[in-house]
Amino acid sequence: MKSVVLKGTQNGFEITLDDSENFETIKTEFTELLDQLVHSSDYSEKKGMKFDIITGNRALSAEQKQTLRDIVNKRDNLFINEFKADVMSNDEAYHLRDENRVTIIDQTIHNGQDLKIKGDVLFLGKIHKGGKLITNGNLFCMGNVDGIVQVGFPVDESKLAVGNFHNAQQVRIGEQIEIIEDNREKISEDLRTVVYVNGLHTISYSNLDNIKEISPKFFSRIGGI
Amino acid sequence: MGEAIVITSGKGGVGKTTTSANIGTALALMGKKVCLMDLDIGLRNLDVVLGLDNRIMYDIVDAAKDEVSLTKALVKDKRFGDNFYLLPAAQNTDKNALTEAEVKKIVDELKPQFDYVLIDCPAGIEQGFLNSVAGADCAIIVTTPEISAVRDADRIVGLLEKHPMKEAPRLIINRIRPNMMDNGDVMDVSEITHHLGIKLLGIVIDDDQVIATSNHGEPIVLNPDNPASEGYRNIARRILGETVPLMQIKVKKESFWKKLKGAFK
Ligand SMILES: Nc1ncnc2c1ncn2[C@@H]1O[C@H](COP(=O)(O)OP(=O)(O)O)[C@@H](O)[C@H]1O
Ligand SMILES: [Mg+2]
Repeated sequence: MKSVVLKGTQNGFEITLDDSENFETIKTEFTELLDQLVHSSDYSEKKGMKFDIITGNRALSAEQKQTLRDIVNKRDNLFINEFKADVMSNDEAYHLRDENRVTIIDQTIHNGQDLKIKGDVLFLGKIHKGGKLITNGNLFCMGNVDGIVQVGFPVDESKLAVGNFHNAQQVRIGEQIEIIEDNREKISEDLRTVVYVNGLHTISYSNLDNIKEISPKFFSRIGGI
Repeated sequence: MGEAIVITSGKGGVGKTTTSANIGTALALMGKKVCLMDLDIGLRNLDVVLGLDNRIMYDIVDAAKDEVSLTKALVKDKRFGDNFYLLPAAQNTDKNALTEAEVKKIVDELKPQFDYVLIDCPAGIEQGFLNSVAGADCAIIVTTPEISAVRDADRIVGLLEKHPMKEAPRLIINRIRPNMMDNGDVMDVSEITHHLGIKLLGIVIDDDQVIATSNHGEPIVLNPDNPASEGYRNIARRILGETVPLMQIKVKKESFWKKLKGAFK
């Protein structure tokens, strides 16, 4: 039986790789298939051909994916659309989980402590001067902030920090850093303050009432219409 | 090429950080370009005393490990134009995160850009001390008139003798309480200087205002009419090579009439 199979679908083409076959054999058969393909009637050099690669219960490593890409790229006008698998690696799974959860934290972050979190954070505790709360997600802060908060760590400027940051030392979003001392009068003592990065890559302040304009993506996620 | 001076003491709490901040500020006020380095990894204070704690983005460990450029890690004190910078200590790393070679490399990189590089040494004689003295051209040893502080200063004099720097160490006696010294409750200035056998750079009175101003992030030298401030400014002038006579310690003797009034209360 063949372990690499080409199929036409409504949306184009699929190449299915047998998930129980070893990768070396897959590679050889994949190469053969492509050689046949460029001589078949489905293929015209002008239009090119795009296909998905279906790997079933096998998650290809980044290296293996690259090997297949290299084979495809050697031929004119063939493209891989995407890899589709029924399984994912632990890393991907954790990433997905972390990206989509809200972690609730109720603790005091003392001077010199860095608390690093993944995903969105609902913070109920206190951050002392010299303490840092760092997340790659958004931050919703009900507690007292005298220290430093960083959202979208390390470089994601689309994240938001919501809370009263009037007494904070710094608010950081991605790579943008705001020293609050220099802007104290701009930052109201309102828990509904939203800190975000605007189109000019500078940190700005607004209010939750304007969340739709600030971040439509976020607005729809929290159920706004 | 600037000069690197380490401010050290052995004992904690005798005023190394206060002295670093005030000498640095005084030199900047006199038009010198100054960089302060905080080597008290894990327990940084210099930034707080200078009122720069809100502005720290990177620290000496980031710079030493080449995570950011040294220039990026420097915090500018806007009060002094382009004259005054702080290289903050790291707060959340192991206190042995730095090596002597790394610190020396940083000091050597700063010296051409500044007139003075002042290194605020942590208490103790372990790695933090070794790092602090590694790149220095000379040392200032701070003590108070207390026997325990003098004993620790003596230990430092001995350690520095084993690894001599370009210049001999000099002494600052800090937190002098004139009436105690006058009463003979503590060693006096000449006894301490003689005992340690190093040159006296200056003396500083114990004054509540030192603590009060530090709390606001304003070193006392910014206040011209304060006896402790005068002590620090004299020290800065001597560092610049001026000859400044030693401040006379005035004991506030209660007047006869005041005493008499007290007796009738
Ligand atoms: N001349 C002085 N008069 C009054 N208080 C002082 C004086 N020098 C230092 N202090 C206070 O002593 C304490 C310890 O000083 P610090 O500079 O932090 O010491 P170190 O850096 O040696 O540990 C601080 O509270 C400081 O304000
Ligand atoms: Mg200190």
